[in-house]
Amino acid sequence: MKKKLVAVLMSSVLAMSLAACGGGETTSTDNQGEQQTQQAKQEQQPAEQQAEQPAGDEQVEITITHFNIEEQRAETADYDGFYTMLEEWQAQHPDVKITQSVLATADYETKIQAQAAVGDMPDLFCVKGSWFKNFVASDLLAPMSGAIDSYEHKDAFREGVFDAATVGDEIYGVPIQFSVSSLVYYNAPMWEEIGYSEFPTTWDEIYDAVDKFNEKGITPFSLGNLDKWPAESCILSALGDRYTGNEWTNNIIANNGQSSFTDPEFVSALEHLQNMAQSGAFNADFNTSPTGPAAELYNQGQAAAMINGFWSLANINANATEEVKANTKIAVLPTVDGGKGAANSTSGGCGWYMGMAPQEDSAKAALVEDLLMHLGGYEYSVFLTEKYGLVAPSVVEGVDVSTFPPATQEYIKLMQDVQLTPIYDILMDASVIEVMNSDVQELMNGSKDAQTVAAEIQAELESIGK
Amino acid sequence: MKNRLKPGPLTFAAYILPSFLLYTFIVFVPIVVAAYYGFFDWSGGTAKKFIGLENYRTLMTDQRFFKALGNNLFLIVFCAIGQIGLAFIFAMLLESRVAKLKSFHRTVSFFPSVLSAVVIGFIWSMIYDYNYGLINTLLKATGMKDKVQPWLSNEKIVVLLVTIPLIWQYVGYYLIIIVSAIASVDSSIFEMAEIDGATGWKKAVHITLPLIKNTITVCITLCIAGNMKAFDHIWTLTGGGPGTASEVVALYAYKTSFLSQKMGYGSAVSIGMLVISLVFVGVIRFVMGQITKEKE
Repeated sequence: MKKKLVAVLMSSVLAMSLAACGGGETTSTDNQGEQQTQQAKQEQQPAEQQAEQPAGDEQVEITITHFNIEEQRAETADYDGFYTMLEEWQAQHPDVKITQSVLATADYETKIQAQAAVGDMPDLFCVKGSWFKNFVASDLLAPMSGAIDSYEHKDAFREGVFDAATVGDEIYGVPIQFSVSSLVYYNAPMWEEIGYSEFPTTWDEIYDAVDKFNEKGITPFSLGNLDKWPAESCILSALGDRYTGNEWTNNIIANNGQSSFTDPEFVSALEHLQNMAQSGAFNADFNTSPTGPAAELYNQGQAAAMINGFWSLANINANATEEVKANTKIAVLPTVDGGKGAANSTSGGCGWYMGMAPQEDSAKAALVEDLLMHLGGYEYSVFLTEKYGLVAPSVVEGVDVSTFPPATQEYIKLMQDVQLTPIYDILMDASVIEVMNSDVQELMNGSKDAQTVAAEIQAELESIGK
Repeated sequence: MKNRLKPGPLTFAAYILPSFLLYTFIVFVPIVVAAYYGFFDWSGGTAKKFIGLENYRTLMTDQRFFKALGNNLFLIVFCAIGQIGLAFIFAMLLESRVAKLKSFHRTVSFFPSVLSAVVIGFIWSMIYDYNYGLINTLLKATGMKDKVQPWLSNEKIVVLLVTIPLIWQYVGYYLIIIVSAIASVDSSIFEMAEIDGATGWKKAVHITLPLIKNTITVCITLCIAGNMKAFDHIWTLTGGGPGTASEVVALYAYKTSFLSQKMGYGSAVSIGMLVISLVFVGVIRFVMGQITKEKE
């Protein structure tokens, strides 16, 4: 009888432990729990240890959760930069154990939100610009102003790179990506064939070109909007600014009530976007195509152009046909008549940051801070600029551009005098963006008009202001 | 002897314990916690603001929630007809004398049920694909080029289009349940019916259906529960799009929690979904119970 009972209890324990290991999510939380107890152990015996070597015999463990997938390192500049910096730092600190948890961006966003919900954060993690307000309010991020002030290369940081990471007077993250979300990649010979030796500078010409391409059976602009953000982030962000100007966008971001989505300028931008979709500027399945296949249309020379972020540059250099690689030129969207936005501008800025969870052990805090400044600091920018020709969070001068692929050289040339305007989805409130992305998809599908869309986005903005 | 047949209370409790613990921690506790979070204005993290019933009140007038619920209802109705109806017809065919390779058909029809929803989503997104999809290729081949369209962009029929893969996947599942229900009926009843001249359709409707109605009730309950929590197929096929046209409640709850960062309201949406599911199941059980009584 007793034996039976023991057996049953044992099996129930086994069942519980199996259940606990069921999902990847749970496993990692377990790890964190374990790691926290380790941390706690270390805290109990700080007196005997010197500040320089916080762990003594015990190894310090730093946990990082991020979206830099190692398999994509070869074709993604920032991923390569991240790993290179991490490896460098690890080589300098062989006694520190770095534990990474890596997920694709969309999964990463879900996972870190779930972790944030229970306040169980890794030491370092990626933070989107629009998350800072929430995360800081929940005490999930340690202030970084001190570390940045004492950083030797602090003057090299570009102006405004810390804007999104600043809450009150305090900075809470270090930029790990300098993003330009709206660039027009175009296949120059294809445009020449229909009579445009340069990319058109007026929308009339664009629509004319759209008609001509459609007659020839070529997709004018390839777009993959299944995930709903590309149309908003890569097109509307830049197009909207053409109509509304910078100040309007900043008022919306600050949610100070001085600008509204129902303002006629923004409604015009929405109408314009709808008009583009309805006049056949994009591939017919733009709302159901994922980003990858849409980019492939351009890479294989089946589309004449593509409006996409700077990340397409690496994709083109790696995956496009030799012809497309050599013929790709880059431009920004044309201006609109009577618009308030600056002419030679496009949406860009720092979107993703890396932040540090508040640390109880000050010695470990110093170590984590040091790693963070290395991952997003000057060396990182030097790497990105010299190896990939990217515009990085810090200004790096004196780089020889002649060895880069032609498309990259185009990008560097273009970026020299382009002004940057805010990227919507990185800076506006997440729930406003969710409504906007969803509505823009319907707008372009023709099932909602610009007025309705504007009113719905505005209603969401007002509801979060309460 | 008595002891061998009936375990003592302690052993009994020990047998129950694992399931009880699992159920409590995996189902019951999360539901209670979600209901509790529904009372807060909470965007994740440690900062929560108690706002009482505000979230639940907002939910009552949330058009997007009710639109998503409408899509769930559509799914339930079409899946009840498509899955259980087709499964019943197939079961009758399998039971008939003319059917060959019965176990082969049973096994093969069950295959889709074991596939991951994500795989199903991908298979069907290939069928609906604009450039290379099966439907458009067939339309082009048969000279109906004007009917070619990006199918999942058509918000008028998109809910139906995402329902079809669900029906396709689970027909086999209900088929197995119904076939085994029919098998458990005394075969002499069918023989008698046949002698009396009830064959084909008549036998199916007047003899078989009444005999397995309890199983059908279970199937409908499963169908409601399954379609109220529909998520993964739709997520991979359309992401709820275009816009919110094919959004279901579970998708809305997920988006609210993780894309809009409204964890509190997202919890309230989930609880709303749970309550409405329970109501549906209750109503169906009541209705089926009434039908059963009348006949008896």
